[in-house]
Amino acid sequence: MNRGRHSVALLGASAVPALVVVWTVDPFTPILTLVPLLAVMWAFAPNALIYPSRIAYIALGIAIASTGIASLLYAAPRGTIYFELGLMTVSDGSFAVAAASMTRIAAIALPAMFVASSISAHEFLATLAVKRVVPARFALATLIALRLIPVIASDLDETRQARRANGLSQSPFAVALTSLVIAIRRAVRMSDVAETRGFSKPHRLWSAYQPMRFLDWTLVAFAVAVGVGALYVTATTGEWNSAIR
Amino acid sequence: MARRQISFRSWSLRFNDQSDDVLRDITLRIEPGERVLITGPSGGGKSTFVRAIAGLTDSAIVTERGKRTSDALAIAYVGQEPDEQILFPTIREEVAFVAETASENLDDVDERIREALQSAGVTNDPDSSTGRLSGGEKQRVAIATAMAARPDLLVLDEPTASLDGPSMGVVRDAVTRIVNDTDTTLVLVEHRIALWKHLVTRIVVVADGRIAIDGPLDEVLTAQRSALVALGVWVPGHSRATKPAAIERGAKPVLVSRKLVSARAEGAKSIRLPSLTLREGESVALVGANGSGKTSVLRALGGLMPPRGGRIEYVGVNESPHEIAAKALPVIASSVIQNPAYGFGNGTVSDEAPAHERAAVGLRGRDQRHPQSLSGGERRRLALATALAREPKVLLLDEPTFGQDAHSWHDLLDRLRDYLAEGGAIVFASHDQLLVRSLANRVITLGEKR
Repeated sequence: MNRGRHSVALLGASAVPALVVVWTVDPFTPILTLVPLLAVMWAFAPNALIYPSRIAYIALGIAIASTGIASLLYAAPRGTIYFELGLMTVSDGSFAVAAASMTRIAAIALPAMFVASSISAHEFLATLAVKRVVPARFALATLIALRLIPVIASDLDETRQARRANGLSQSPFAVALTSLVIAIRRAVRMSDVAETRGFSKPHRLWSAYQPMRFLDWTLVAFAVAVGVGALYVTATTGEWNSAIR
Repeated sequence: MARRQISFRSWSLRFNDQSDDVLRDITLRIEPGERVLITGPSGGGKSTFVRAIAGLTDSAIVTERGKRTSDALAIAYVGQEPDEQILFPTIREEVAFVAETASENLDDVDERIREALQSAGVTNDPDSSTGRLSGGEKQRVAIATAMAARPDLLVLDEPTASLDGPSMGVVRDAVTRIVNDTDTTLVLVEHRIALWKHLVTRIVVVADGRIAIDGPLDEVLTAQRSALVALGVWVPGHSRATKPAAIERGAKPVLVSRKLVSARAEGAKSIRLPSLTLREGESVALVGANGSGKTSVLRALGGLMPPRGGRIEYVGVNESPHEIAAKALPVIASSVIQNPAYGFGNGTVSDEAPAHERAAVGLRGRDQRHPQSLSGGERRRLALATALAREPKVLLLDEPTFGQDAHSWHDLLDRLRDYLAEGGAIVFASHDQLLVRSLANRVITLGEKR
């Protein structure tokens, strides 16, 4: 199997912005992190960066816009007030908070979106299991749960149609309840299947496990350096706005 | 590989939430290398029995009495429902899971994966998604996965129950190759003896929780033929199609469909149905391979989902079927979907359908059971009884004979013929050629290309 950069390295690098933006609320740090980070990721793992689907962009757009609007209207007023109606106040302060929160979301989400298709859940969980970060059973159960997501989605459709066929209400609660009962029954039978295949055997091999190589560690190191660098620049240029009080 | 055996002596099993034993006084010994077919009436305890053979009895929910011993080192089990056999997102991960558990080193894992895929005849790219496989392909991958453990006992519970003719052949060929090449002991539950006659050597008939017949297949098929028939076993060459009743002259149309285009889901391929006028007393069969669109056509006709195009009209009803209120729909068009478990609305069988309708489809003595706890074949009959009790103008049935023994199959056919004689009309999808020949006035083949 062709393996590019290690899933743990990709995930680690893409998590850097989330660790950086907890320190300061300003619109510059996220951008100072995001742009060089994407460049570093592109340099080390060009094949791992895959354009997200249109749906993912739309979801991100909605998240950014709704956060921006909420911050604009409800953030604590500061400086000049431009508009006031009941609880809503638009001021210099709310513009600053809106800009900061919108760039934060973009910085956190975009790197993850770009590597999402390249990360192998199996390789990632195998690494956690081999390194004993999580028990093997947990890693296996998580993988099985991932495979069940589309199956459960189709359960909901089946339940809706079957209830209509029987003249029963299709209320979300009733549909969810029936789907839940069926999902549990299936899970019981699938756990039997898993059990006959040695699910609880104490020792097993993980062929999806790969040790982290030099370039994987280098990618993580550069990503961390980008984060630290961004915080340093923000602090020295006087834009720091501590998020921890 | 060490040769191992399984044995039961005066053994009984009871589910803790039920008052009677499901399996009674079982005494059976399976020798290494045997090829055993387990069959018997629907709801007779076959599946529970093979789960016990595979060692899948959970002491938290069942109580066992008597003696059960298993010397098998590695047992592989594959169940009925393709979706429940697949645990991982790709074929390689699926097979690797077992290989990684059974192996001591990674080179052996690769060897086992290669060998297992080859023995089950899986030719798909190992890195392809398991979610996109057809039912037959999923079962074949499940069998490959089972073989990666290099088992000394392979237990299969109706592995072809939900498959069309070609997919059934694919699974049968895979099992035949494995058993002939590896000398693995085989225990197989199946209604259709004819499908496995070339491979199995011994037949065990489980009826009403007991072993009713046990012996070499050829001998039992000749010497105890009438006993098998009496138990509702599908004896090869015994059941013949009888012609369906002709439609009365001047029978009124009940359902008209023009240029219908349906699809399973948004983005799924379009299925086109030739224009159709269904009359009182008429029965139309939809046939075609797995994935040819039979289910989506039935669901559009039955008003369970909107069609992608075209027009469907129930005579005397103004709305399109998908616009009819849910309460009114089952009286006009009553659908029995493939897995009726999704639609049961009551806690007991007796609340789900009236007693006379249950008796008419051969469902007796299950009154206080939860509908979800019935066997697959019984669930289908219960759903059919519920649908018939509403006296719908049109009945839409998706694979109504899955999991039926010969008795319940005939009960079902008789009741459907009565319904047609009373002026009802049926559209049904089925892989069951005997049912198609015995019930359909007209056959529509969907998706000629596979």
